[in-house]
Amino acid sequence: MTAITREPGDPGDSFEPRDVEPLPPGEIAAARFERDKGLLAWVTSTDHKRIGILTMATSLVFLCTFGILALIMRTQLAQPNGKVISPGAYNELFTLHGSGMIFLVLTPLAIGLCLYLVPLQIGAPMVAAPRLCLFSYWLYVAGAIVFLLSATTVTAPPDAGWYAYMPLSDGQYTPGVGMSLWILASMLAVGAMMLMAGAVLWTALRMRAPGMSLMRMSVFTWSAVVTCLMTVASFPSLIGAMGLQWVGRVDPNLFTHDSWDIAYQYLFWFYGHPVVYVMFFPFVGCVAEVLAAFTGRKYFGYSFTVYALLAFAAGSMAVFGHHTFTTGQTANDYFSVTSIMLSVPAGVEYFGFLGTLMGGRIRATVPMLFALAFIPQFLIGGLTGIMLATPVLDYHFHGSYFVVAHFHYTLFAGSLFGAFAGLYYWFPKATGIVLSEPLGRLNFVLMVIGTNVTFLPMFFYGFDGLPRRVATYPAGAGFGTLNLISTVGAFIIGLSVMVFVFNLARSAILRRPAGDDPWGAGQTLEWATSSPPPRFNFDGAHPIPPIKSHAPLLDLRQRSGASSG
Amino acid sequence: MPYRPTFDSEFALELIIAAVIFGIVVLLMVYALLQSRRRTEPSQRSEAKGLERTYVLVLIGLAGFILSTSLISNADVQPSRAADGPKPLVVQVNAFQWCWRFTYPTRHIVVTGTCIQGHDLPTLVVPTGRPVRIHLTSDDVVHEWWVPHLRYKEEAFPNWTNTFQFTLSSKGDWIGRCSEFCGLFHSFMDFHLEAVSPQQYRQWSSQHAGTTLT
Repeated sequence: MTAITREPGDPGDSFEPRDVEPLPPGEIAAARFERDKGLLAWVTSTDHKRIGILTMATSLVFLCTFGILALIMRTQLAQPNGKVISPGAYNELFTLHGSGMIFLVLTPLAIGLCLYLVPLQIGAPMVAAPRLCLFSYWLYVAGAIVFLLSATTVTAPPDAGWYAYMPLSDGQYTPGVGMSLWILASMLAVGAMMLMAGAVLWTALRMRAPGMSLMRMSVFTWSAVVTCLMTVASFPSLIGAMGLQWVGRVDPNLFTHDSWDIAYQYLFWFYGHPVVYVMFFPFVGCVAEVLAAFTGRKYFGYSFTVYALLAFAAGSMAVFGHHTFTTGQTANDYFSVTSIMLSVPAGVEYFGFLGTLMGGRIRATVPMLFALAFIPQFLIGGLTGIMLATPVLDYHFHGSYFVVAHFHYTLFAGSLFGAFAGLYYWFPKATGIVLSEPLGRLNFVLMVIGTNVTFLPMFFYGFDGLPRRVATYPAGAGFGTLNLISTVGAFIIGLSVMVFVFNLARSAILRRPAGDDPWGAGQTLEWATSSPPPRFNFDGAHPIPPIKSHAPLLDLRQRSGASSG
Repeated sequence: MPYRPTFDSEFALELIIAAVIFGIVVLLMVYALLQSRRRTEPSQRSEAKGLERTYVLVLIGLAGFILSTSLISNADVQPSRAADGPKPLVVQVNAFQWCWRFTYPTRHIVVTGTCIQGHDLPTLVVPTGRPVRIHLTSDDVVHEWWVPHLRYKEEAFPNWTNTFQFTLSSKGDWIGRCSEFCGLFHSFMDFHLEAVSPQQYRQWSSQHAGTTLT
């Protein structure tokens, strides 16, 4: 025990009597942790775990909110000439659904998960810039509140779609305060995530425990690093684009030249494509960790996967132009080359997935089921992505339901399945209580059925000529039956999410305790500490184990197995 | 080469490649699940550098092949600069909230409509066998001219003109749509593309010369 020595004149003197021995740091932490219960302590905490959980919980609430909007849209589209809602209301719904899911749900879910896990996985006691992270969370909440205000402006909720092309979104064609609030909301939410990602990146690069070299970081932490790199590199562009749009709303006559309209599209997609990977890579990381844990082996092809992630992040900055193939103002061939080349690092990631699976002893836990379903489902999104990166195919598919099907396969059948794998896997660690496995399996089965029944038909009616963002479609064009199938699927997804919420509520009431490693399979540092981890992540009772590879706990188990056997 | 046959062959190629890759991945997953049942201990091997390097080379080769077909097919659909063949019919297409206006400059014919509730749709009448050159622009916001039958679309920007060309070999009537979200009645912004025989086209154009059809 070391007493703190102070020089005379230290301002600390006047507050602390010299003869009282200070508590050792661990006990201070424990005492503060006990005291820091209650709502106020939660929402003002600078603990990265609490900020991370708050961010993820907030985003999950919005996932349900904007998911309900999707169900209303699917109801409208179930039959030709739908009369459930007006075309105006439909335009507002898809704008809120799309932009809400991206700005307020998947990005914060991704970055929030990184904030929660990265310090734990690299053996850091805290995040770099903890106050900045707390500030980011509240900036995100502020953005969400402004977003909801924009949605409830009675006269004119935002209705220009999530990419809000100019000049449709300017003051002439979309007047009203709702659209302006929406711009402010997107700037706040996107700015918030940029700051949070910066802090996570700083943490991973500068605050690793002794022995945790870069090439011993877990695959998830690496995915977080590349995610944060893409975030800090691309998000400023959205803020710039929104600033441009703001000026265009104040005086639409300023931007009467075509350059402004096309420059807005480039600026937007310079953010808009990397953000797709921001909403994807942390969940690839989840899948990788879950696959390694439930095959009982070290993640296969680790170093190639790490290089692939870095190559992907670099390449992702040069593919934005494939969204503008049909503008007649883009170097289509260049962006086709860059986009198709991204299939190389993507293919290397699949090598890691399959390589890990093929030598493993597979345990079909709920997180593993979600991770297994991710592999073929995301592949459908990825392979159709190559088609969309081919100009002659995009000339037909652009702006159609084929694209809607494609990005829901990447972001729903891919990202969200990875997110569920991660949520089920780390929930006991983060909360100290376990979720029900049978309910989790029901959640999984319904989600697989719902996802494919909803999104697979969209490829077909998109191919047959149904544009996206239509409030209705005529009878006799042959779109009716497949749309009805999609609608049925959407409600199965709704049911599946209800099972998930019930599972969460049931666990919160039963409070069945989870041990430090309830799966008996953890390989990374967070499984060495308690569930939930102490305030500074590791303490005397839960020290950081020696780090010799990207799976330190597996090394430990194998060594003890070897010495005892 | 016209858009549709190019689209069809490129799509068939990429669909086959995609199906093969999907099939391989699913087979490997099934294999992994089956071998897992027989295994008492997971494999200790954590990498196979030689195999990985070969695999990366194969991937680069495959990606290179796909992107070369992408570039070649895109070159195929660019309008040829050659002056031979019949002189194209030029039609000026204006998109506006929320319908279309087709102007035939040589005959001073204007065809437009209101597109209200999907009725009163304008028809773009063209002859078969002769190239049709479209000058596409917008009166207000960004729209997109899409004829699914042609497998082609192009965006219509204000203060900017895009030009493209197609030839229809057989008679028919196809639906065209706006496929870039353009505001309140985007859903109803359809039109017809009608190909008639050159003789019928001559008759139609001389009958309506100098008039506005709504």
